[in-house]
Amino acid sequence: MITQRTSPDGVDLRAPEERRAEALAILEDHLPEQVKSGAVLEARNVSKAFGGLQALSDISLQVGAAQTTGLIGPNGAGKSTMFDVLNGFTIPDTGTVSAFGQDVTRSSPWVRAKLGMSRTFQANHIAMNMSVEENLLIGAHLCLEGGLFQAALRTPKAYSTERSAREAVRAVGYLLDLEPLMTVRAGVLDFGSQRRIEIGRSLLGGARLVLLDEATAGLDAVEAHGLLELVKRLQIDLGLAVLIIEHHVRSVMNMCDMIYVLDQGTLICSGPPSVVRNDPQVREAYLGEERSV
Amino acid sequence: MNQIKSILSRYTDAFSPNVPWWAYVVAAAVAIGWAGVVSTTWVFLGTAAFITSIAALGLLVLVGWGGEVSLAHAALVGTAVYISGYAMRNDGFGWPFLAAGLLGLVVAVGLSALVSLPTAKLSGIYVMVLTLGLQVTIERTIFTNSKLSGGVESRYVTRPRFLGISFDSDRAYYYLVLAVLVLTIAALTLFRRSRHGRALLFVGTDRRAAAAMGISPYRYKILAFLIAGALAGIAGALTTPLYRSPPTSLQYISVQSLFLLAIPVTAGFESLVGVVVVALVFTMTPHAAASIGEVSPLILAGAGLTIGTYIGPGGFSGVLLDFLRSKRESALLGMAREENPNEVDVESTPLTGVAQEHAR
Repeated sequence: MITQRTSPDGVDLRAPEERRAEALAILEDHLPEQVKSGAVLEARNVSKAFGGLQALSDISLQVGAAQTTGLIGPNGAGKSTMFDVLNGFTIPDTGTVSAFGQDVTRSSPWVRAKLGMSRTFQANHIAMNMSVEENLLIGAHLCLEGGLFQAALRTPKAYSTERSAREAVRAVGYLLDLEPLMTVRAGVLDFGSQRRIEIGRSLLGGARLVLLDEATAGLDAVEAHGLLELVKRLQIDLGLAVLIIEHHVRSVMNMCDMIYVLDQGTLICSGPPSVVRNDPQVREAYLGEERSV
Repeated sequence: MNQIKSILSRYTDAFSPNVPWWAYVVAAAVAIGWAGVVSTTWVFLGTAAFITSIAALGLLVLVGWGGEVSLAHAALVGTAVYISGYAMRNDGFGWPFLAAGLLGLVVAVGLSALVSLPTAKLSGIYVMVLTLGLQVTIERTIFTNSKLSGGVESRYVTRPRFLGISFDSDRAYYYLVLAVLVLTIAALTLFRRSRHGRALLFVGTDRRAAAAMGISPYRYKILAFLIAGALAGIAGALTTPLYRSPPTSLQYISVQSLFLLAIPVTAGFESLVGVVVVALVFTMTPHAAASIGEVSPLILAGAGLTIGTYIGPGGFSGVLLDFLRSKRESALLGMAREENPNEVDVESTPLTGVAQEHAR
């Protein structure tokens, strides 16, 4: 329960650090236990062709527990196709995908979500006509209990999980600067707030692994920086595993523990930022010229 | 007392924060008072409009919330009309109203389920063709069965009687149908605000994102068809006693499916009460305007489909709701701009390179 020391006009008077710590504690309670070590997601020798176009050729990658992993490459490199394969929207022609130790190569996205894998999309995929709170609550769908009638009639058990989820939603709202906007429709908010809703929603489903597909696309420099900072802080504080596609190489270098570089459907380099930064093939393929990334 | 308060507190969010409390009171007063102050013709029309509303609410769930479409809704209502009517009639099964109504509902839900299975994996034009196919098939089979529809002979159906209360008079039947409509709206409101309602709406809005959140789009699309079928069944079961005999099948042919579809499209998909208002307008306007000239309900429906599509998913109720909530939302947006507790100091955080990168 969020304990509030409020002013007469309802403003919470506690220090931001105190409120943040409380929000994180609520969210930690809401989320399943995070994986502490090893790989949470592993793709082995994945290939995928669309007609005559070989979108992915023999790609292998690992996302480590409690780490931020980057997936970069120029446009058309196959990053989004790889995300779709990892997330279950696309079944690979060959190769396997395993999440949390289970083979999920042919599993649907909603089965993978139940294991703790969630994602965001390049463009905003939120319900514009729903309030911020409802959009976030959609993320908590898997954590709620109650069949059709129990949920609609709000039986004590169903209502109790709904109430806990709403508390987690308020915590996420606070952490992502959405708190005063909970009852506002998502459609009237600026693009940056909509991105934060999508990230918050992906956390609330009991996420242990979050795939972020170009989280900062469409944002200006300050908004992008703020968003990546929030993501990194949440990743560290909650011990999440994050796989991020990001066009801005320096952002990836700064925030990732491990980076995979794709070019024309093939993996040309992988390793920690220090290795990738100095790889001549990456510089050539990614930037098209000889300069440091 | 505290326990009752605690139970009631679970349901407070069923009332929209955008609609003032007095609007609910006025709506209730008009709905209850209507049957007491107007002639039986208008009471009858009110009852017919409420039944049409129940059927149209099914389409609101299917089209507006589930993002699907059905051109067989009139056929489902008609099927329930004739099946439950036959079950009620003395020359049929002679069942009591509730049992006969349940049979009509089960058949309508069954047919809807049958359509939902392939449509869950189809989209757009294919669903329209499939449901239109069902509409025509039902028209040529169930509706042409004189045993069910009563043929040219006059078949009489008595109105129900529960717990010692007779609903034989037009006014009493009006209140029965009004009660069913209120229960339907309450049930849909609670469903809409539950995890399953949110999931259905999100599947209708963004199938891929819903799947990524652990929501099976197929499951919820099937659910939308089942709810639409159930409401078509309820509307059908209430219809035969209204007319006291099986109505003509012309009321349930394919163009009537478009008429029913026009109601939520005109009203918009955000307001259940909006659907009732549009159903009342579409049903009553032709009679109200009879002294001036002939106004076909289908003309109103055609205009409603055109204008509703032009306005967008919000329909007329969306325009009104936008007006009601714009002030509240503007105030909250202003407040949010003032306080931003987690705002990042771009110059001092470890990711300052990011800002420079973007700035370039």
